[in-house]
Amino acid sequence: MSGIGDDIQQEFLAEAHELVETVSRDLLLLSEGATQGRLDPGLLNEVFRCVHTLKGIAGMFGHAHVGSIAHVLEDLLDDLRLGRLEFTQQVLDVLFDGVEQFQRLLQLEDPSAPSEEKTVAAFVAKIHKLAPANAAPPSDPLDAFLIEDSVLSVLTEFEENRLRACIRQGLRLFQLRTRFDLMSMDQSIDELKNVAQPEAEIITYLPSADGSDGDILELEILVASDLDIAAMREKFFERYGQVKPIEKRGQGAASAPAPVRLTTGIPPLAKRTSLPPRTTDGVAQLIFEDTAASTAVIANSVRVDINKLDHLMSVVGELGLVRSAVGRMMDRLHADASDRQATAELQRITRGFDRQLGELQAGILDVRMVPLGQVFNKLARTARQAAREHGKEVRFVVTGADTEVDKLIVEELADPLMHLVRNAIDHGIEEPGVRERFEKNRVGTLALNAYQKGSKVVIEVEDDGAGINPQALRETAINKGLLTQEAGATTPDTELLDLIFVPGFSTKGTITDLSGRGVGMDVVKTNIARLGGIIGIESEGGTGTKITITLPITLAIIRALIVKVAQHTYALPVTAVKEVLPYDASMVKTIQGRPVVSLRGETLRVSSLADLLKIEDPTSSRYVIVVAMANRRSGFIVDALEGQRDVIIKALGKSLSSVRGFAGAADLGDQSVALVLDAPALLEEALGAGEVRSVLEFRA
Amino acid sequence: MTELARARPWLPSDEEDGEVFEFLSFDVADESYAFPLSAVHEILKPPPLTAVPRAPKRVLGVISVRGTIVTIFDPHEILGLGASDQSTIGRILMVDNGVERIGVAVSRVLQVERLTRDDIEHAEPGDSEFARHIVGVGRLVDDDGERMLILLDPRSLLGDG
Repeated sequence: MSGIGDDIQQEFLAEAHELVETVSRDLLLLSEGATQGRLDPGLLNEVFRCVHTLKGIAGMFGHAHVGSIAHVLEDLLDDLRLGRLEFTQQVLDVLFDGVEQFQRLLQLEDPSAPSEEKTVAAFVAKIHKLAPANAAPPSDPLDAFLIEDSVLSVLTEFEENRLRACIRQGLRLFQLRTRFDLMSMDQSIDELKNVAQPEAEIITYLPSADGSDGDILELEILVASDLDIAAMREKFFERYGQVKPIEKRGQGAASAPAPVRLTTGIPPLAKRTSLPPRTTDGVAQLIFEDTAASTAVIANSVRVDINKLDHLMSVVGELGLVRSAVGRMMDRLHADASDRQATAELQRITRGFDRQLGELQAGILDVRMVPLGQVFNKLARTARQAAREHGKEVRFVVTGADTEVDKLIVEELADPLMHLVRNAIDHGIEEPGVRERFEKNRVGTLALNAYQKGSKVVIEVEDDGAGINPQALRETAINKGLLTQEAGATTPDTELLDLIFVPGFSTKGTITDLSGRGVGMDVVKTNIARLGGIIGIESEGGTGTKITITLPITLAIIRALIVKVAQHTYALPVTAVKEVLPYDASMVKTIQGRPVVSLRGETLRVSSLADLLKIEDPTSSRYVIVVAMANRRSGFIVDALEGQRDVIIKALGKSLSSVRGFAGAADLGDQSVALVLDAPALLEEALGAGEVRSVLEFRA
Repeated sequence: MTELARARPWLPSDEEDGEVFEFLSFDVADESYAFPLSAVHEILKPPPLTAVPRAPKRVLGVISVRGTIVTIFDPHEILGLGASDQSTIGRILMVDNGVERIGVAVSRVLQVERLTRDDIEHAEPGDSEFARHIVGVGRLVDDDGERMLILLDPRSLLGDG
């Protein structure tokens, strides 16, 4: 994008992602409601609003593709909202597809890439096909009730549609007359809506012609419900006063004409789901047991750019450096001892400062922790889609969505978990008919459980499907040459299961676009390994499969200072870094043949990191990094500093176990790997045993 | 089972006469070598290597293979072919050396060769320090005449020693 700053684009992306997430969550809830024959107009409105906003910001930021998809979706949602289109599974599928399209586009480097034109156009065409052929219903159900024209004439199109929909569902209509204080009216109406739900729906509220006076407003409220008048009175009378039924035309309910239904050729959800579940053949069913995952309402929270958090984290790191400088000053004052009282006071203050600083550090780490629910929401959608595509009935159960892990981990978990969920539905859970033959509940269960276990977080993906047949594994392994005939016969079943994680291994003959997609369990394992986690599998033929992922909460992540020596990049844990000084050859003096620099009156041994590591390439010494652990410190000369970043430490291979000086390696992305320096070991080497004393002597 | 076959179970033993064994052949410094196909897990295009100071010479560096840090070995050093030039690394073969998965940098990967027991001549335990990596010599006859293939044992490519 030309002419638009990165910051602004980032802001667009952040907001767009949030809107799409909301749409996705609400659609899931709508889909859940639909299986029970409910259509929550509030949710539908919310989706409509989000898509509308998305269209707006996409236009503002010049993202034409996102804009055109939002535009057609908005129209579609408007048709739904106003009842011009039946809310069917087919429509839901298209809406979910829309969410996928948004997410795909937003992940592209350039969401407006011309190469996307075709896909977007195809999607738009697909939606146009769904548009209602003829909007006008054959006859108006409103005619069935004796509603005053004065009321009908002021209804908005949306309200009128809701009214029609309610009548079509065979609900009764009531009129409620109540008085609210003008000052707190919005609140009172919200309260009323809450009282009404879920059995009754407030269609509209209008100020009554009379009865309003001063600060008190009398409202006439139109309510639809399947409760009878007695139940309605019980529900509302005490708080809101009189309730009266709105009579049907003719001589009352008995002779009223049957409600008229819109016919679009697609059976309406409400009708289908009112039948027993056995007749829902081929229709995926998705049930949320734990609303935490699907309805996680984000209240009292702010959205923060992760870069700002990173900045805060490095500021706190710097603060630690300042703290140690203060400590050194204090030591000097202590030695000087001219004003003992002031020194003691300073010490007390510093202790307090330390405590607060510690809390600040912990607090910032804590802010980076986000609930796994963020990623579970996405998975619910994946599960729904996979179930639909495969004609499977799946109950998706989530527990522990509030378990928290570092943001970095949550982000990286999305893909592997999505794959596991797809796998479980595609290969694990059987078709409803098959399940019945095995005397299993025709609705399969896919459980996603998360919990904390010590300093680890455990995530389980468990299904009650067909499980993995060890014999099939054995045959595939032998066919693919991974095992010899003999080895195949003797390998225990539990070890055979691990073959699943071998690249290119798949037991199911057919590869679908679901779990297939060219990536397998080996990629899942890789992604988990990259996060410092491990993955295990248990499975029993016929009863199901359980995949267990164990991850560190934060432990393997360290803040590191990235330094360069010659062309080599190293990561140094910031906890070991006390300060950084610009280097100048003239600073260096020699004491007993060893190079030292003077740092605020103290002598600091320095050594070139290149020499220490025996790097022979030419260097350009620019900085001295003061590394300190316990009471030992030393300066290391490096060429360049490349800032701080969070890295995940990985172990070096066993072949390198005899090589000293490295704590591991960190994947910096883009295929680049930096060795993580082992600060205590290097410090030890630089100073040598027994050197501490001699350095201290020079200080005196 | 011969002594040799017991030590190197993938190697064809006498009882399996006539059976076909598959090797993956590759070039290192203009000489052709081969690993048993079953020992090669993967062939990678070489990403930038991160050099490891202080490591033995035969370690070229480390790379990240899907999140796991893997040590890459230089067969030039191991086979006594002199120092290698990083620019000649065409592919990396991922093999198990019995302890862990490692990478071996080769100039280029040739093809899968099918050898029978008769095509393989066991190497005599040599005096040279390089000989322990070589388990035999495969003789191939094709349109280009007879070719020799030096068969390597990935298990001897251990980190230490």
